[in-house]
Amino acid sequence: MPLRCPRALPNRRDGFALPVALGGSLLLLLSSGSLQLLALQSRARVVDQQRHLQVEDLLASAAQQQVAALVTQANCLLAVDLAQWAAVAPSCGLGEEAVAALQQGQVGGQGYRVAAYRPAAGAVASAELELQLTGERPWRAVYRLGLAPAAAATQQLQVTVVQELGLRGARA
Amino acid sequence: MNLIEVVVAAALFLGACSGAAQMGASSAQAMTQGRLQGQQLEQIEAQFLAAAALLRQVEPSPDRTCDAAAQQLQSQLAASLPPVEAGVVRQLSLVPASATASAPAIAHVQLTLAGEGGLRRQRWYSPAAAGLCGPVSSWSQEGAHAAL
Repeated sequence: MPLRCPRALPNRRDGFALPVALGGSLLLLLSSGSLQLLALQSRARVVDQQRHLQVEDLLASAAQQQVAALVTQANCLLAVDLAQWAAVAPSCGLGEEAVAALQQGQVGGQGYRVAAYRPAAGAVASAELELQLTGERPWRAVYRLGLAPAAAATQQLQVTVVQELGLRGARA
Repeated sequence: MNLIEVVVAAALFLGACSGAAQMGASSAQAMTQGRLQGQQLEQIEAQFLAAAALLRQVEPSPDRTCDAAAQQLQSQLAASLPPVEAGVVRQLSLVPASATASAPAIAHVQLTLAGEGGLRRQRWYSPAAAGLCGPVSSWSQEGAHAAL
């Protein structure tokens, strides 16, 4: 009768712990990895929102500066479309250089240019100002200006309100 | 099941538990920071909305110099902006036309708000854009030519 070695018999419970531990570990790592991904996505969203707001801030500051420059230094152009600034400027005592300087500026180390300026037709009570950043991402923003006579005796205008109409995305 | 298998399985599982705990902790921290930054962004936005509301309410007075109007605007903003909560730092700076490094040189007030994690927003408010000072020609034609 042949001898049977008890160790040669396969034990059903052999190799049970390792697959269970492997499966459990994998599950743990996958779930914590998903959480990490979620946190990273949330962080990326906050960073993106922050960048968007900073662009809005830059353009809003540029609009304040541009409007102030028009009011104080080239008041007669407040009622004139951007396309006609060069033609009208000499009658206000402004030279070519002054008009060119009025169509661009710098705020917080970032350059910008005036992309459009459109006074409302008829009695000028409002105007639309469109500014564009000149950096790598040329974001645009449009502002509505409320206009009113500065004094009864003069034809000068003042800006009573600058209202943001929103960003128009980065396009060339 | 032998001892070596149990030891290896336990070591593997404990390693995974430790790694998962670390990742979970860092995720929780990132989420808490994200939530805090979100709250601070809302608070900062409220400050800018309050500043915009004040600019709409001020009485236009175009016959003043812009430097004087900027000074008054700074005082009005300081008095009327809602208080900021802990973690957010607010700074209101007056920049007269002569001190501005940007072009064109315009007197303005800078409202800067900073929060946690490098969160920082800044807006400029020019009194001339709210009707608080008027055309430079009425009080100093030379300044306009120098600036242009």
